[in-house]
Formats: sequence, C-alpha cells, structure tokens
Amino acid sequence: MSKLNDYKDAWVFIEIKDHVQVNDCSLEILGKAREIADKLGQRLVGILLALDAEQYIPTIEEHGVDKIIYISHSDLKHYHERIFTDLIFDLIKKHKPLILLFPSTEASNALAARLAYRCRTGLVNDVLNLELKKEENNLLISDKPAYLGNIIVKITCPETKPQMCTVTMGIFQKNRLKKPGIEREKIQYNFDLKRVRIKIIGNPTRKDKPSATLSDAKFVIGGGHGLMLKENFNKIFKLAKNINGQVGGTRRPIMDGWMPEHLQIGISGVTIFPDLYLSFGISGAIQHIVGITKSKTIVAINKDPNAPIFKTADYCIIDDAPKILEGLLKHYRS
Amino acid sequence: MINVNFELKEKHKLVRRSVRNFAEKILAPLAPIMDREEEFYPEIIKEISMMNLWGITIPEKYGGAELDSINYIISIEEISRICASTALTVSVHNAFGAIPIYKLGNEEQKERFLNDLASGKKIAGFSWTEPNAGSDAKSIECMAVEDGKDFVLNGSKIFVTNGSIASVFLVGTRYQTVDRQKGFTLVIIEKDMVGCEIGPKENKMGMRGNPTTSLYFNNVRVPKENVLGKLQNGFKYAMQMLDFGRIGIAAQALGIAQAAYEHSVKYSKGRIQFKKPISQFQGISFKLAEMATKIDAARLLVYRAGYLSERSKNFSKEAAMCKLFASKVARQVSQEALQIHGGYGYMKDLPIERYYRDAKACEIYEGTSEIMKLIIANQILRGNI
Amino acid sequence: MTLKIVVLIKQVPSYDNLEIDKSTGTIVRDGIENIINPNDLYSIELGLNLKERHNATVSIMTMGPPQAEFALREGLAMGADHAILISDPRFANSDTLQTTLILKEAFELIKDYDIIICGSQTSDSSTGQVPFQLSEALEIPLITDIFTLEIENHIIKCHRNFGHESQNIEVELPVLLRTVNHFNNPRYISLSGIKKAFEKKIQIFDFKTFNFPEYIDGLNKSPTRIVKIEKVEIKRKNNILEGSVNEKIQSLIQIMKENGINNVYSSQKKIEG
Repeated sequence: MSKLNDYKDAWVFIEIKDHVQVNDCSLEILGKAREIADKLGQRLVGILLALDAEQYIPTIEEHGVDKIIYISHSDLKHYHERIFTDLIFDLIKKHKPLILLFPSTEASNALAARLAYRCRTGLVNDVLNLELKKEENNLLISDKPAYLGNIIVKITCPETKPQMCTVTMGIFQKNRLKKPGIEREKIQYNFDLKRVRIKIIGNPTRKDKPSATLSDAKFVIGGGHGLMLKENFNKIFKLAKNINGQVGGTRRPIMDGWMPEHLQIGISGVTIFPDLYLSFGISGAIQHIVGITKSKTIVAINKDPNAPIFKTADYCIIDDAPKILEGLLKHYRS
Repeated sequence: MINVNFELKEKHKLVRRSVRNFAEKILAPLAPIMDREEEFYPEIIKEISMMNLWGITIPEKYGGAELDSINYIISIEEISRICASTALTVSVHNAFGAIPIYKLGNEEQKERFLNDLASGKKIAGFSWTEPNAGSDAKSIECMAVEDGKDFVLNGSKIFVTNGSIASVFLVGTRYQTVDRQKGFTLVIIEKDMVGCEIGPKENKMGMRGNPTTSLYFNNVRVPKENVLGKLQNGFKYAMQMLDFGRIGIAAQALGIAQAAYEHSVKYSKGRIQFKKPISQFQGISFKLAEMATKIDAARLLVYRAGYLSERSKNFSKEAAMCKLFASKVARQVSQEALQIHGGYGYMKDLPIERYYRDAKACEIYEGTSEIMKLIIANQILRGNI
Repeated sequence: MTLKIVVLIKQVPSYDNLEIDKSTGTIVRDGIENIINPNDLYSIELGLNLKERHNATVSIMTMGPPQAEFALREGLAMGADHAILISDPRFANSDTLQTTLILKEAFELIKDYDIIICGSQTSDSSTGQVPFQLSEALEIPLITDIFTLEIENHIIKCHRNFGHESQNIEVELPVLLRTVNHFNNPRYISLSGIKKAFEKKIQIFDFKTFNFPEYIDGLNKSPTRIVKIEKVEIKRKNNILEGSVNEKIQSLIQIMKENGINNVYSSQKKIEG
C-alpha cells in the first residue's frame, strides 16, 4: 500500500476525436493543468493511446506538457473499455499521478469512472473550475454544478489518489507553450484480446450520431403553450428546418400532442448547449430553465411581461409569440 | 362515533398515484373532446380494462382487482379529477353491474357475466328510472309477466347511464300483476335480446362524455335464470346497490371539486392584476381557504362511508350524508373556481366551465339531494342518531 | 434455465411542483412526492419484457432510505417478482465509489444473476458513473445504447451503438445493460398489479446482512467530500427589445445574424455537430 506522498505530477488524458485529431477539450485542460503543475512544482504529463499515436505528439507538445506517455496500436483506434482501462491502470499503478484529468465526453467519462473504481478513488464529473491548494497537502478543489437548484458544489478528494476529474468543454483556455526538453515515453502495446468478452459480429457500420440532435445543436428553437395552436407549433419546426436548427419544447406541447416526448428540454428531458436559443410562448418554469442555462444566448418571446423566463433571457420580446414567429418565417424562407 | 384511521396506507397511495398517472396520460387529452362532441370514445374501454378499473372490488378469481372500498373511492376520485364523465361510466358499471352480480348473483350468473364485466368485455348500465318514476322509484311501470320458463318484459326506461356502450343491464321491473308495493324484481337484460332497443342519446348539460340513452322493452323474452337474487326482493336490493353507488357518486364529486380547486390555486398565483398575483388579495385567498376546507370535510365523509360499507350492515345514513355533502361541495367549489378564473373561466378553452356543468349532476342522479335528506332524516328519527 | 434479471432503480423527488428557495438556491423539499426515477422505468420495462419473452424472474433493487421501499412496491406492481431494499444508516452519504462497493456486496449475496439492467442518468448527475464502476466491480461487460436484443443459450445478441459505430455484438451472460431513454413504452401500473405487489416479498439488505465490512461507510469512507456549497446568480442581460412588432422582428433577425444564422438563400453551409 503506497503512501499518499508517493503520488506526484498532473496527468491529462488526451482523447483523440474521430481518429484524426486531438480533442480540443483535452488541449484546454492542458492549459489549466500547466498552471497546476507549476504551482505544484511538478510535471504535466499527457497520456495518449491511439492508432499511429506519433502523429498527435507535435500538437500535444505545443500545449505545455513536460512529458508524454503514449501507446500506439491499431487496437487503440477506437476507445475500448477493456483495453484502455487496463493499459492506463497499469500506468497509474506504475507512476502514481497525483492528479488525473479527462475531458467530459461520453468515452472519457466512462473510462474515468472505470479507472476511479480500480484505484478506489473519487471522480468528479463535469467540473467548471479547478483550484490547487498547495498548503493543504496539494489538495485539488473542483467546482461542480448541481443539476437541481442554482448552486455550485465544491468537492475534494483528500484521502485517496489520484484526484480525478472530467472537465466540461469550453471552461479552460489552451496555453500555446512548448516546453524545452519534453520527455517522450513510448510503452509497448501488450494486451491479450482474448480477455475481451464482447464479440463484434461482422463489420460495424459507421453511424454518426446525427449531428442534428437536440443536445448537440448550435441553434435551438423552443415552443411552449403560449403558441396556443398546433399549427403555430408546426411553424417552429418549419423555421428550425430553414435555419438548420433543432426543435425542442416544454411538457405542455407533448401533452397536447404537438411534439414528441424526446424533444422535451429540461429536467425530465434534454439539456441543450446551443449558441442561440429562441423560446416562443414558454413561461419559464424551473423544470425547463434547468435545461437551457448552458445556452450562450437566450432570447425569450412571450406576451406575458411577468413570465419567469425573462429573468433567464439575454433578450426579451414582450409580444405575441405566433406573430413574431410568423415574421421570422417570412424572412427565413427555404 | 366511528373511529377511522386517518392515515392512508401505502396501497392506497399507490392506487392514487397509478390511477392519476393513467388519467393524466390517457384521459386528459380526450376529456375536453368527449365533452364537446358528446361522444364516449370506445377506445378507452380497453385502456380502462388494462387498468382493471372495470372490476375494482371484484375478487381476483373473477378477474377483478380485489381492492377495498377506499381504493374504489380513490380510483373514481382520480378519474373524475380528469374526466368526470368517464368516472361516471366506471362507477356505474362497478356499482350497478359488477358488484350486484357478485353480491347477489348465483354461481351460474357469476360464471356467465362476472368475468366479462370485470374485464370490461361487457359493460353494464343501470336502468330503473322511467318517465313517471324518478325520485318516486316505486312508481315504475315496467312489467315482467311470467310465461312458462321465461317472463316477458315490456316498458321503457330513461336516463340509462352507459346506455349505448353497455351490453348488460340490471333492470328494475314490477313482476307479474302483483300489488305495486311488493313485487319489484331485478333482472339481467342483455342488449341483444329480441325486443330490446336502445334509444337515442340524451343531450345533457354536463357529463356529456357519458352515453346516456333510453331503453325500450318490447315483449322481450327473458329466461327466469336472469332474475337476480330472490324474486320480488328487487327494491331492497336496489336500495343496497344505491347505498354503495352513492359513495361512488360522492367520489366523483370529490374529483371534480379537487380539479376545480387545484386550477384555482394555480391560476390565482399566476394571474397578476393591480400589480399583484390575485392570490394575495384576501377576497381570493379566503375563497381558496374555504374551498380547501370543504373538500377536506367532504373527503373525510366519503372515506368514512367507504370504510363503513365494509364493516356495517347499515350504512345508508352515512352514504347519503357523503353524497349530499360532497355533491354540494363540488357545485360550490366549481362555481367559485369559475368566479376566480373570471372571464377566462367562462371560456370553453379552459375546463373550469365543464367542471361547473359536470358538478351539478351529482346533486341529482342516484337520488337527489332532497331524497338524501329524507333518508338521513328517516334514519335519525328511527333512532340512528 | 431460468434467467435471473436484476433491475437497479433509484427513488428521486418528483419534478412536477419544483420550487427553488431563493435565498439558498437549493430545492424546496417540503411536500414533494418521491417517485421512481423516470429513466429507470425503461429499465423495468425491459426486464419485464425479457421476462415475457424468456423464462425469467425479475428482481428490483434499490439503495436508499426506508421510504425507498415505496418505489420497490411500484416496481413490483408493474410486474416484478421480488424486490430488495439496500438500506442502513451506514450507507447514507455514499458517493459513487461507496455506492458501487455496496452494490457489489449486494450482488455477491444475490449470486447467479444473468442480467443487470440500469437506466441512463442525466449527464450532470454523478451517479452516471455507477454502471461503469459496477461493470468493473463485478467484472462483467456493460452494454449501452442497445436497440435490439435477443437471448439464446445464455448468450445475448444485440445491435447497439458504440461511439460512431453501429455494431452487432454477442456476449455471454452475465451482462450489465444500460437502457436508453424512450427506448420502450413503460407499462402502466394496473390495480391488480398493485394488489399483487403487496403480496410479494421485499428483502432488506443492511450492514449486518453484509457482515459488517469495514470498508463500507458512506459518511466517513467516501473518497469525495463536499467542502462548500455556493449559490449561483443567474446573470443574464435581460435586454428588452422595444418597438413595433416589425421592429422587434428586425432586432431579432439581427441577433440571429450575429450568432451565425444567415438567410438560407445566401448560406449553404451545413452546420456540423
């Protein structure tokens, strides 16, 4: 049982996107982790598992690392829950990183969870901020938003190591910095595929998550009860189509049969992360607001000046939603 | 003084939640349409079957859900909160179809009818009222004359709840030519019997989603095996059926009142006039307080009657009390709800005016409020203080 | 060969009448009903569906305070055969690692399970980690994002999405499945289901049942600790757009333009997700 003081260095998992490029979020995390490593007086290490991993090294080296540990093999082309977990766990056991950070993506959240279990340590997902308290035994404080309620929770992992987090995209800034004398450590790939229990039959087909899903959409138009009629709600679908946006809504349109269930935005549905969210005839109950706060810009259109949604909006139009919608449709014709 | 356990048990909570979910998902979209078009949607018969609501208290071996009276009340209440018409359909089918056949029928009749009734394969309707026999129930003229192994039925019934969707009717009729005061008999009539005709749908003020029709018997030949219980004991059975049936109507009234009240609270918190939500004016908040109190009082009376119905031989007084009170509360609360909603409440876009129209029926059918007072007074003066 | 299916559920507060306390920023918990996490209904439905198609038993299991028993009754009312409540003061305040360790104890007692099913969590909820950690703890594969599945001779064959691939896979039981929301239509609880639910057994697993393992202690042994809770102010511009209807529409179009939405006539760019 190794002592907690044996743990050192800040590690960042470098996720590869689409087997062609380094995931931006990983690079952003390197920026923050550079700060942390400097404060610790220790090293920043990038961890890379990929097919032809060498091709990504130059990019990683330009973002502030002191060292890169990498494994290159065709089995590593895609994230694999057995292979990646086993290989990285071996690295953790050998090197004992103090801090281990991941981007908050589907694959990395899964990987981080598995590793946290193996290390019997804590994991904080979707952090919005990181702070290192050197004086408190190199304690990392992470900020996590609570899903329900307008609060931020500050979490630490004082007794176990590594201290692990997955970080939300767009929180930190990349740091274009190339350190001199970067160490590259290549690990020989060694994994017995017989240990994998899931057998893939035949050839998998490429099935991109349709880029037009609600939670990935850049532009979202939401419709609520204030639209009054189904034919008005249908105009939302039309407008969305004409501007390449996605449609969502609140509970009422579903109950009235204007919209399918899976397009519900809010507590019981989807959280959206668009650049722009337009809401038509939505009053703004907390159940819905919870799903839209991550929008960069929110425009609310509602004829009731007291609608709660106006408190959460950047731009407020106090007017008849169907009228405004009609006007927009005239402009954005297909 | 009856000691009632005020805590609802876990089972009751679960029943309330499930029936409420069902009503909100399946019945809510249809309720305004059924009221507007005065149509009962036969598709919901199957949905109600899947919920086992056609045989709430009927034992499992006959296909029922075998739940107690409180659960029966809760089920009707929750359906009524969303659609009073459907609640009427379900409660009449249970109280005047499935339950009487279970309680009064012989094994052969139970075998013939009970499973189909509990499953909803056959729907039951209630048929006693005639043009000249409403509150004066004993004045019915419908006549069954013995003829060999059968009897022949002639007459007509009006205001038959579930008329156009039912295939089984419990009919109250005089028997042979015996003296009026005796001789009332309950018979089971099936829709497809020759001479049995279902009349046109009534055009009602409320409960418009419940199909109410007339029923005509033209020399309908009925086997004697279809007599329910003892011959000429029909009036007594009918009164027993009505005691329990009234609890169902009271539950229906509760549901209407509850819906009207909930809407009123929500509306008054959101409606801003004179720079404040109207709930902050005592004129409105006092109304809400009174509505809440009345509904609570009514609910306790109804549950108490339900509780007694399983433990006491004579619960006529309590059943009449709960119907008298709950139906009045439903009318008063729905009226206040309409007032609170103001102009919006008067519009058919909101369900408030429907609650007001639906509520009124509860003070009339299955014994008018005046009859309820008669029953209560008789009980009191007979010594049941 | 009877398949043994275990469905993991969680009881959560109902979101219907949610209100936030303005001074603390946290939810007001008074008078809130507790329900089965809506995402878990899809898991229960899958379990019951498999039970109908194969020779199987379905157990519902949850970890929580004593009132979570009601959620188990709801699962039993839907049609499950038996239920387990994992509850003990020592399990309270568990983070995901402790939760996983406790579930591991439970599964060691249950033995011989073939399929474990759990629901998807919202992305912000940390309990989204549990299926992955449980997969590690029990050393069984986790399959997510399934859209068809068959079981034959103790092998599960399914069609699933993994990353940007659609795969046909085969895995020998036991497996852990995570359902996707809206994947099926969870059945209603019928009245006869309720009657039967109260005749079925709910087993309780507590600290004693697990034989007092010393590494389990939600409050003291969870690796993650909350050190502070801060209220967040929603700071938005609240800029009111004035003018006539047409002027408001024009202002809106300007805002849309600033955000990259051009009139489709002039822009043929497809927006990448």
